[in-house]
Amino acid sequence: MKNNVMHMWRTFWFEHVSNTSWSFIRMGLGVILFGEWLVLLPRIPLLLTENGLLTPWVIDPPSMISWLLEPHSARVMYAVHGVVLVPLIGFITGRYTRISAAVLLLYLFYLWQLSYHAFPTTGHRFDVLLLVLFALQGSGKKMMEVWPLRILQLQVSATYMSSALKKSLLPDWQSGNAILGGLEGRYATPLAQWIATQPIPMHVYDVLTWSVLFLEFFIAVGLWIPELRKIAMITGVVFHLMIALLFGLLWFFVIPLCYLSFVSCRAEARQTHM
Amino acid sequence: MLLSLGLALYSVALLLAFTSTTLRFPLPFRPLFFLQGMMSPFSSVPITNMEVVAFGSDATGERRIDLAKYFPVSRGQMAYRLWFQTSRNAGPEVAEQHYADLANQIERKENVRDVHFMIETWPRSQLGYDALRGSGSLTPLQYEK
Repeated sequence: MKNNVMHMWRTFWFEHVSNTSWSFIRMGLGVILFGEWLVLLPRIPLLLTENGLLTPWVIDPPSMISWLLEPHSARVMYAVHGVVLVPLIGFITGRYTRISAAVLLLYLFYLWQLSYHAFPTTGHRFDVLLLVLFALQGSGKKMMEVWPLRILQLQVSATYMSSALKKSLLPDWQSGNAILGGLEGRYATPLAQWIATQPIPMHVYDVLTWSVLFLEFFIAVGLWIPELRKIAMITGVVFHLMIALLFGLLWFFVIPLCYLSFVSCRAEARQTHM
Repeated sequence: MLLSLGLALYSVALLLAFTSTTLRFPLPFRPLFFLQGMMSPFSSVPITNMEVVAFGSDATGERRIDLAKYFPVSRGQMAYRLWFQTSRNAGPEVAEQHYADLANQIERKENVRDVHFMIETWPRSQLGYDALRGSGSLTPLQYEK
C-alpha cells in the first residue's frame, strides 16, 4: 500500500515528459508580459511616478533599501522599463531563462510595491507563479520532470472549481442577476452596455448565469479527462474571449495559456499506450 | 526529497486556499493569501454601484476632487484601486495609512486641505453605469474588509 502511494506520488510529480508545451507556455507568457509592458508604457508617469497618485505598498521603507522600493522620476522609470526588455526578450527566446524569469519577477514585485497592489489581479498572480516555476526549472531539457506542469494543472483546475463552487453558493448567482449586473457594472464595455439595454427576457440571463457555473465546473474537471480535454479547452478560450469583449478583462488570458500544461501529459500518455 | 517536500506543502496550501475560498473561513497563514487571490475571481456582484470619492476644501469652499485624471485605466480598475482591497485584507490600520497617504498627495496636487473620502452608492440601471448616479447616497469611508 505504502509502496503504491509512493509510486503514484513519484509518477504524478516526477515522470518525464516532453518540454514542448513548457516551451510554448514560456513563449506565450513572454508575449503576454510584452503586451502588459506595452500597455504600461504610456501610463508610466501616472501609474509609477509621483506625477500620479501613487500609494506604494510599503510607504516608508527602511533607508538602506529605500532606493529599491521608492518611486523614481519618469525618466528613470522609463529607463528601467526599457532595460526590462532585455530579460523579456531573453525569456521569450529561451536564453538565460532562469535569470530572465528571476529579473522579471523582481520587476513585477517592484510594480506591486508601486502600483499593482491596489489592483491585484488573478492574472498577475498567475504571472508570478509561472515566473517562479521558470526561475526554478528553466526552459527545460528535451525531456523534463512533469512537476511544474502539474502545479499549473492543479492551479488552473482549482481556480475554475473554486469559482464555480463559490458562485453556486452566492445568492446573486442563483438567477440572471449576476450576468445582468456585470453588463450594467463598472467593467462593462460599450458592447456589454449595449446588450444590457436590449429587451432580453430575464430567463435568458438566468440560463446564461447557470451556464457560466456549469462551464467553470466543466473546464475544471474536463481538462483532466482526455476525451473531454479538447472541448474543455475550446469552451474555456471562448469563455475568456467573451470576458474580454464584455468586460475588458484581458489579463485572464494567462489562464487559458496554462491549458497547454495538460497537452504534454496527453502526448506522454499516448506514447505510453503505443 | 526537498522538492517532494515543497510539492507536498504546495498541495496542502492549495487545498487550504481552495476550501477557505469556497467555504469562506479565514486563512491561518498570511502567505496563503497569494494562492487565495488566484481562486474564484470576480464572484461577487454588487447590488448597487459604489465608488470611493474624494472631497477637499479651498477658498471657495468644499469641492469634489476629480480623481479620474490621475488614473489612466478603465473605470472598473480605477474604482477598485481606490477601494484598496489588498490593504483592507492586511488590516484596517494598513488601509487607513494608505488612504491618509493618498489624501496628503491630493492636498498637494489640488491645493486643497482637509481631504476626506466618502463612499458614493447609487442604484444599478440597464441604461448604464452612471444613469442613476446622484440619486444615491454618500457615506463616510470605512477601512474594514
